[in-house]
Amino acid sequence: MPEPNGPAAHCPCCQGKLRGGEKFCPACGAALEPAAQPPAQLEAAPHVLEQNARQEQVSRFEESWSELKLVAWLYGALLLASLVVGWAGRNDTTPWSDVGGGIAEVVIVFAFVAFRYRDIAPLLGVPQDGRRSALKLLFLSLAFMALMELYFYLLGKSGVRIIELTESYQAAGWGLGVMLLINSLIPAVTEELAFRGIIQATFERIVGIREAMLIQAALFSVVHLLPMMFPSHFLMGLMFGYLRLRTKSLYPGMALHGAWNALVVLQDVYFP
Amino acid sequence: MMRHAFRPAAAPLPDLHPLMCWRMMRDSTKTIFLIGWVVKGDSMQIRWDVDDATSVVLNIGVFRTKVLIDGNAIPAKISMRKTNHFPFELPDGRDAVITVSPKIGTRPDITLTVNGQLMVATPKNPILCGACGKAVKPNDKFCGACGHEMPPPEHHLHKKHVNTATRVIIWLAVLFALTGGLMYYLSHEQSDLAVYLILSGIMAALAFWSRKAPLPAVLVATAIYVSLIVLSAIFDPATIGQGLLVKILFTIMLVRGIKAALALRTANA
Repeated sequence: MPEPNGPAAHCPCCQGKLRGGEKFCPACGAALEPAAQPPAQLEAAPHVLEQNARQEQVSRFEESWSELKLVAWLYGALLLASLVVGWAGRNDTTPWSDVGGGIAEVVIVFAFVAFRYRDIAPLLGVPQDGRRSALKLLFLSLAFMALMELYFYLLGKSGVRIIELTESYQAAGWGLGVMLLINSLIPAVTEELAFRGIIQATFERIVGIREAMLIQAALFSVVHLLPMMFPSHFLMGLMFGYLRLRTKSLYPGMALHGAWNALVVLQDVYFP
Repeated sequence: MMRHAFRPAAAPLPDLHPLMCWRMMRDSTKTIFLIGWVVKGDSMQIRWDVDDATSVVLNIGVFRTKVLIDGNAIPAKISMRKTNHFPFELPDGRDAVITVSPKIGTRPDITLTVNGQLMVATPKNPILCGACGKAVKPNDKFCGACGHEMPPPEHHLHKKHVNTATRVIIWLAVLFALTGGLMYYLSHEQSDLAVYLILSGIMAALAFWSRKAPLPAVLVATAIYVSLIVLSAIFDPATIGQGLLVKILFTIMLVRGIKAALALRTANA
């Protein structure tokens, strides 16, 4: 170690000037040995190692930034579709604006699925879980639906006005099958593909599994544009994301999502 | 696809041509931040301790800017309002360049590179090693006490943008809380108050989360903010133009924060 008050010393590795009193060289990080010991051998010059590391960092950043932009495009397209459908439906009492919204969702999501099929393909297989696990997940899903029922019951009791989903369909004389198609099946499939498929898979590569779950659930809740329902939809996003992680398949999430939406439709129709 | 839950308030602003809005916003924010920076006084000077023997100081005044190398002033023509470079030579012959890159919504990025290597500006408080807590010189690559690798100079630039985005999230949290209070005072609708308080709480939680994990927090905050703008537009299309300058400014600052947080994340990976 160089003496604090002696003549200016140099690092034995990089020959950088030392101030005195350091245990490690501030330029190359080498542990400072007594002057008698030979300098450490490096595989490559420090500036080359630094350059390689920097290039790797830049390419990792560029890759992650492109992935993030893809997610932004998908999310932006869904928001734009909501905006257009919302404007079209402001003075429209028929369910045709909902139909338009459903079609727009299908087109947008399937276009992105086609573009990023490599992310989705592994999730379109049979759920990888034993029979016992499947039963546990089934009970968990039922408990979850009961919890959501409780949340919306309390929300209604607290005075928040929620327009019934099927009001315009019943007024137009449309059948239950159409209502279930537009409000249960289509959102279950498209939203699972978008959020638990493309978005969650993309974020798993960028930030890891745990944060990807939180982000996709947050985006899922926000895209519904209902601030009073941010908490419930966030929990739904977590639940569907958990099913996707456990079973390595999108189908259980689609089933639960579709079942929940179908329950809402049936309640609107038979228990207004 | 959506159900009505509440109608947000809208503040009227004059209707302006979009291009004129953009130019006014770009120039006015740069000028406002420059004036604010100068008036505040504490950041009129940037110092770089290039090494133990050499220091470069940039003094930014209202009317002119000075560059001092080891205390000696050299003639400098540097604009804070547009991207420009000022090359010069250090006493030991090394090439140095001061680069100014104005940014919308925040102070300009002012950097010094010596022989192509970015230098860390000397902060007011000493830089501490993340491992042992000992003070480290700004441009040291490793801690002299424990050998821990210090973050690269770009890290400090990215951190600045992440901190700006976090401040925006806090402003949004305060704004939502105040708006909720005002709405309740005017309309006595509990549901309106509840909605704004939920939004304020979410933003506050995201601001808190951004200290540990800035990337997901700023991402989600940006998605919420943009979605609320869309929601307002659905109920009342006229709200798109209202408060447009602030909306664009906030969105730019948040997106810049996302990019900076991503850069920090990939650098630490």
